[in-house]
Amino acid sequence: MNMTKKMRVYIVIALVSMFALPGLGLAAGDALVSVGWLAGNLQKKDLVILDVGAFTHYEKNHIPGAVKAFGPWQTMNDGFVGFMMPKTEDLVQMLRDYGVNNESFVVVYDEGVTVKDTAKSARALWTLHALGHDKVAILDGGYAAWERENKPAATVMTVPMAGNFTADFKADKVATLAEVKSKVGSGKALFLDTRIPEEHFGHEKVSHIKRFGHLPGAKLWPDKYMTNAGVDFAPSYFKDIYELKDMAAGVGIPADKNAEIITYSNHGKSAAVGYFVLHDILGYTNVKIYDGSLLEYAPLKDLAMDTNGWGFMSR
Amino acid sequence: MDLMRELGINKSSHVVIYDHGNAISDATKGATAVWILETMGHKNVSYLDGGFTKWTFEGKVIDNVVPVPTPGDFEPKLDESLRAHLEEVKAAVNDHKTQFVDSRTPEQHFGVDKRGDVERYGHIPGSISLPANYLTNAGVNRAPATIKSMEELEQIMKGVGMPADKSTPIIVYCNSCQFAGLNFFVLHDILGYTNVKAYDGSMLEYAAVEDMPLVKFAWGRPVK
Repeated sequence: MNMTKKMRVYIVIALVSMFALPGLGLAAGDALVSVGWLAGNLQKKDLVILDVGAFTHYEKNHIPGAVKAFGPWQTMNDGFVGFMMPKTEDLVQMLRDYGVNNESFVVVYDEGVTVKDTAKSARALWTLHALGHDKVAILDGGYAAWERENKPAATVMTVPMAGNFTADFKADKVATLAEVKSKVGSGKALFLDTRIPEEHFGHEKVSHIKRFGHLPGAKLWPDKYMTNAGVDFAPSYFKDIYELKDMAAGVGIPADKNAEIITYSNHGKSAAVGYFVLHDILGYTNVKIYDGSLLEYAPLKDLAMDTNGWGFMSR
Repeated sequence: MDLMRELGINKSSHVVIYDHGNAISDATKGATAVWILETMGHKNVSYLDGGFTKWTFEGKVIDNVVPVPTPGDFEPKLDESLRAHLEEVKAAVNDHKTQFVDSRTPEQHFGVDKRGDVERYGHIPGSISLPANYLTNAGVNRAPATIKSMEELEQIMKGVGMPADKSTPIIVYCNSCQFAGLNFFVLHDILGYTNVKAYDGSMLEYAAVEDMPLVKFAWGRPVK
């Protein structure tokens, strides 16, 4: 019965998309491409495939034509906070080296085994968004999905032609410490914690994060709830849009698609999975990542953190 | 009854229960045994904080002789006010007054994970998530599974949305009613909630009854 209902929904979507007008820009969902789509479009003009997984993985096996693109996507900033977005000019150079042009449609992928892998792709996608490049998508399920569908693998390193990529930096994609300070606990923006519940609750933490707990009033939606990684050995496929919609409501994300949402995690990488789901799958328009995340926030003792409770229970 | 007598428990006994004291699955064994004795009407029962692990950490004497107890004269006087059955749970789901407390993992509560022998995903409507795991210090700097301090426990109750009124009717549950035993013990015996029951059948029973509602993909909220 479930299947029939699901199929009916797909048919409705198929009909709706047939009549969708061109020129509407990226509709929700377009930023996630399937193995089938990618395999059928490997020769597509302007396609650039970036393998953002570990380079050792790339050297063993990668998607034909994919560029070794392990970064750095995050570096230490001037304030000696690690895992921040690198300087724009460095990123521009890196992306040109990867062969990215302004016209490129970039598909990023990762190992695709766990949500930690997916987070690498999500972080790269968000970085491109922040540089003003919206023509970017994630390969659903990453290399694990590619392999599972018996698609061809390449071992020879792709040497791309230098690209002409230029950046148009979008400051509204990045929440800075100053902005977080002014908005936390104010009700002006919704903070979303994408870490594991134990870290959110303050029962556990990773050792280099200085304090336990979460930003006051933050909602909790762990990134690992957003994909099917590991369910019956599945690659890290995103859950379907209906499940994600239900969860968004269930964790307390407002229905208003223009609501301001700031995602954060320990290093701002897992936070990118939250960004992707909200912005690119569910169509929220005003989502940003707190780039410094808890690595920057937790050592600042005068900034509040709540422990021994769920952020969604506080008023 | 027979088991209690064989163990040498008398009507007049003060029973101290301990477990391995290492992990949360140890602490829940001890706490559930406390609940069982209390439900059988034997109120003179205590729990050794941190169990055997803390005992040995503090260099106390241990031996390996298995004692042979003299049979006791234990008499059960079942106290049903501490135990909930399915019928009662059914009624409580609909009364919107009973606060259900889910002791399982957040993943099981949220409905993205479940135990293989539990039929369906999700939590009982009107539940809040209070994982039993969060109630002890097990594993922190290799600490034994001692129960967190009163101050921390009170803070946790506020933080998970427990009602401030300690006479609110509460039903704790988990998968098989072992982890719920720890939540029961903390609420009833440490924090002084006066109207707490453990749902004996828990999700093993509840989820198999198809018309019983379950909430999936959401964090539970307090009933009030």
